[in-house]
This record gives sequence, C-alpha cells and structure tokens, in this order.
Amino acid sequence: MQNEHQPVLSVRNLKTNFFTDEGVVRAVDGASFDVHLGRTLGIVGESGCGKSVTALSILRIVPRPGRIVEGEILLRQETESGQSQEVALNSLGENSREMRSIRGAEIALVFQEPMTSLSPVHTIGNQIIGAARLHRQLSKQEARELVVELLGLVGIPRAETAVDSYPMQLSGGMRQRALIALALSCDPRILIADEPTTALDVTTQAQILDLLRSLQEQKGMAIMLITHDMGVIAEMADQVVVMYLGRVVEEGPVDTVFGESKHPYTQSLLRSIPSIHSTPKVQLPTITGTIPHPYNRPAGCPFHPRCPDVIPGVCDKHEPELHSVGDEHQVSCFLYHPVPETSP
Amino acid sequence: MLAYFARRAVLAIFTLWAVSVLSFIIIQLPPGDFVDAYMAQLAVMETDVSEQQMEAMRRQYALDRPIHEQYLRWVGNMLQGHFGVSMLWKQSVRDVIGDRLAMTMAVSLGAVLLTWAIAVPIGIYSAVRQYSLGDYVFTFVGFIGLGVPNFLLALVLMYLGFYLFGANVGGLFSPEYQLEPWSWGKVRDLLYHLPLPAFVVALSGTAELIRVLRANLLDELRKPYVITARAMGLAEHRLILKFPVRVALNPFVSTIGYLLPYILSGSVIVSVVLSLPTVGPILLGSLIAQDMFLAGTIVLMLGSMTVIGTFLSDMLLMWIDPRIRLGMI
Repeated sequence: MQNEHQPVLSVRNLKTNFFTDEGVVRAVDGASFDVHLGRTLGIVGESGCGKSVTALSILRIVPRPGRIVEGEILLRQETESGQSQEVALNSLGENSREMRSIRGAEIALVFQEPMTSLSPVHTIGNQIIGAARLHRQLSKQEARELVVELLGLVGIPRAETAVDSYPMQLSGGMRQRALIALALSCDPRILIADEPTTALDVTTQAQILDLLRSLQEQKGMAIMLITHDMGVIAEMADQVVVMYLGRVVEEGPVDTVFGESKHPYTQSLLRSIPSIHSTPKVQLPTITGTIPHPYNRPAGCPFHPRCPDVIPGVCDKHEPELHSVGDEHQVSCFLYHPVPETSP
Repeated sequence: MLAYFARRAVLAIFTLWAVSVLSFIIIQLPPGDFVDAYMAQLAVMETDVSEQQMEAMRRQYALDRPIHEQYLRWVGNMLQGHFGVSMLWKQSVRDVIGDRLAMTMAVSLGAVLLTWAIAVPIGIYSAVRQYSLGDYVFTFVGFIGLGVPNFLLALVLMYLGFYLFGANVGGLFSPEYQLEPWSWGKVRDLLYHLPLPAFVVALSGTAELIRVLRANLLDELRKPYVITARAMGLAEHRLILKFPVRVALNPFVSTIGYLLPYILSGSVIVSVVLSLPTVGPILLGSLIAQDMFLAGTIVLMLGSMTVIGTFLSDMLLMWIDPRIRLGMI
C-alpha cells in the first residue's frame, strides 16, 4: 500500500514561461505543492494567475509558445513489486509513450468549459469509449457497457440512450457530468478539475461539487480543484494553495488559511466574499488596483503595488519566499519573515 | 429530418424551374426566331424560300404558338433529351456537347481529386505546424498559386514542354488517336495527357483550399475539446485527425454544390489555351456566336448542376454533421 503521508504528486518550484513576440510571460513562477490520495487540494487565485497553466504543465500539454523552464513534477507510482517509485514528469517527452500512458490513465483533467470541451460532431459515447479503450484492454462492447455504467455513476439519467447523444443535446450540467465520466473512464488516481463549475448555475454547481466529493469517497482519488471561487474552496478543499501572478503566496490546511490567513492577498480575497452577516446594499470591499500586465510585472513582491500593508523599500526591492508560519502553513510575505540582509 | 429533406427538395425543384425559365429567356433574347436565322443562312447561300414555306416551318417548330406553350414544349423536349440544334455547328446540341462532356468530367474530376489530395495534407500540416518553416514555404507557394492566372501557367508549361521535351502538350490525345474510336490505347493515351491539364486547373483551387483548411483548422485546434482529448492521452496525430480535422472539413462539404457545375464547365480559358476538347470552349464560342440553343442548353445544365449539387451537399452535410441534423431545422 502507498504510504498515507507520501504525496501522490509533488510539484516543486514549477516555472512555466510563454515566449511570445512581445516578451516572456512567466505564467507559473515557482509553484510548489503536494497532492495526496483521497484528499482535495484547492488552488485559488484571480484570472490569469497561472492556475490553469499549472494544470496543463502537470499533464505536459502546455500549448506553444509555452514551456516548462524549471522545476520538478513528481508522480508516485507503484511498481509491480509493491515498491513505490517517483517518476519525474518534467523529464518525459511531451508526446512520449510514457507521458501519454499517464495522461488520462493516472492523471485526468476536467476542463472548464462544459459547452466546448466535447467534440460537437461525435457522440458522448464515441468519445468516452475511445478514451477508455486507449488505456484499457476492452472490447468495444465492454467499453460501451463501462461507459453506460459511468454515465449512470455521474448521475446522467437514461444512460443507455445518453451514450448515443451528441453534446448539444445535453444541458450544461449534464455535459459537465459527461466530462467527469470521460475523466473517470480510466480510473485515474488524480483528477484535476479546472473551474469545473464556473459555467454552471448555482444549483447545478452544488450538484457537481457533491458528485465530485462522493466520487472521491468511492474511488479514493486525489482531486486538484482549480477555482477563483473561495466559496467552492471552503466547501471542497482539504489543503489550499493561493496563487498570485504565477506564484504561491500562501498555502496550508483549509481551516488555517481561512481562519488565520496571513498574506494580505489572501486576507483581501476573503474580505471580498459576501457573507450572510454583511450589511445589505453596501459595496463589498475589493482589492485595489488591477492585476499587472504580465509583460510588466512589478519588481520585488508581485503583489506590492496593490498591498495594503506594503513596506516601502522592502517589498518593492526583494522577492519574498515561502516560509513556514505554523503547522503546514506557509506564507510568502515580508510581514512574517525577515528581509534578506544582502541586497540583490 | 424528413421535413427538412422535403423542404429542401421543394426548394430545389422551384429553383430548377426558375433556372429553366431564365435559360429559355436567354434563348429567346436574340431578335427573330430560329426560322429567321435559318432564312438568313439560306439567303447567304442564295436559296429562295417562299413565305409559305416559312410559315410551314414555323408551324412545324411550333414557333407560331404562344410563348408559354413554346416554353412547355422546350422543357418537354429537354426532359426527353432533345436540346435543339446548334446553328454554329449545324448539329443537334446533344451531338455537339455529348462527347465533350465526358472529356470535361475527366479533366475536372482529375483536377478536383488532385486538389484534395494535395491540399488536405498540406492544409493540415500548415495549421498544426503554424509558423514553421514548412508552413511559410507552403504559404509562399500557395500565394503564388493563387496569384498566377492558370491560363498563364498553362502557356508557360506548354512552352516548356515544347521547348525542352519537344512534346506537344495541348489537347487530351495524341494526333494519331484524335479521331480513332475508343480503345485501350486511346484510354492510355488519355491518361498520359490528363495530368498536365488537371494540374493546371487544380493549382489555384489547391492554393485556395490550403488557405481555407488552414484557417478552419487553426480555429478548431484552439477549442477546448482538443485539450480534453489531449489530456486523455490520445496520440497527437490521431486526435488531430479524429476531432479538429473532422470538424474543419465540414465546411468543404458545402462547397460540393459548386463543384458539380465546375466539373461540367471545366476551366474555360485554360481549355481554350490547352485546346482541350471540353465543354468550356464550346460555351465561349456559343456565347460569341449567339448560338442560342447551344448556349441556353449549357447555361441550363450548369444551373441545374448547381442546384442539384447544393441539394446534395445539404443532404450530405445533414448526414455528417449532427449539429445540423439535430439543430435548428
């Protein structure tokens, strides 16, 4: 059996850059986190902070001109002798056979747009059967039975007929369920859900989240949930990683991050959630300023131009690093750890 | 689905009728009628014809009947395969066109197949490897292909063929087979002559198709369903062929409607330059000479082919694209 405490996936100092004609965009700039079986890691941040690129990097399907330039992505696999070994995904070729045998089979992705994430000219069944047979030795008939079973499992009514329907014949919620069925078709150990509920209405959103949770209980898989919605994180995640401009600014267990948030960015994000106790008709606090343009990111701490607690002369000169501030709780901010002595 | 089919069919029949009326008007446009023209010809040959004879002839050809009756007769004859007489060739239109129709189809079908065979792989390559050296090379060659008029290319190739190889590249047959009846030797001779005109006719279409396919495919390659398929571990070439190419080819099915008349008419000017025995030069000649029955027949045929082709491509599109089959019919 795999060690409970050992992460199934470790991302260490991941850096993914996009080399465009206008300049280099550091979409992911030194992200580190661990994913554990049976637990949910929430990755939260504003649009454009590198959440999705992190997911694509793990699967090694970053679109050109993007490229992983640094860091390690370690997947823990069990060998036949029962020993566990680590595979460095970052060292595999993007289109190598090993990488393709991991994609979908070990790590599956549920993408953010249920409306366009399935081919419009193929039936649901065709697409899921194709994926299932890619990684499993199944006859067409067996694969079809599996897909009908999966569609039932994710809560699609009349799965026997739904299998032959086209995506456009299903509602948004049903399409997202079909996408989840597709992701589950090869029994992955890690499910990356990139904004799985963003395009859905609130009721459907709750249903999909419930579904993900019950699937996790049944299958014991690890879920990496990417969202901009703090509410979704609070409901789903065990661990939270807060990202800003491609960097991890704070990470820790969900209760700690919500209860004792340290980083000014996390604190501002939490303040801008409407609460049942907030006074009606009063504007929610917002984070001042906007996300800097990726071509011209600020020196020092990337958050300093918008930070309410900025220390002049420090935050705009030095780059903070993640430091422990408690049990499993890390934050990257000069308010909590000393400024490096030597100036860069 | 059946309602869609029925509505399309009714629409197609209505359009066919409109095309036939238009063709009939074209035939009627020159002043006078066939008998006048015939008389004029006889007069040139200094043969006298009496008024009575002319009247008898008019009656024989029903030219004294009201116009709508003439139209109905004409359509009736058409449906039975009688297309009238070409004044220019002094033969029935059917005899003039008949033989050439087969030649035209040979050249055009060859060109269409060549177009697709060249353009589809290159288009896919150019999109998948956007901005690669290969993409730039094909783009460059493609724009030259679009920019050079194909009759000019025909002239250049003919010159080169004659100058370098001493070969006469015009026509579809060697002189010794020109008037021979069909035989295996003649077929082989045709196949030997076919590639050059097919290539010339195909070139600009190929360049165009490459550009369109590249643009379509680039749109599709960015769609999330491609990422989904990639994230499932599908090999790159298989996923590209299965998903985005399949979607990107749909618009081409709708161009089959224009392919049919094109196959019939061939490329008029290229055919004239290469002296190909196709329908194209005949159409040109008949228009210049105001050979109304011949021109009208060809116009009617081209029009009908467009209508039939559009109908066929609509049906085909409905069959292969579920969005149309199930969508807002």
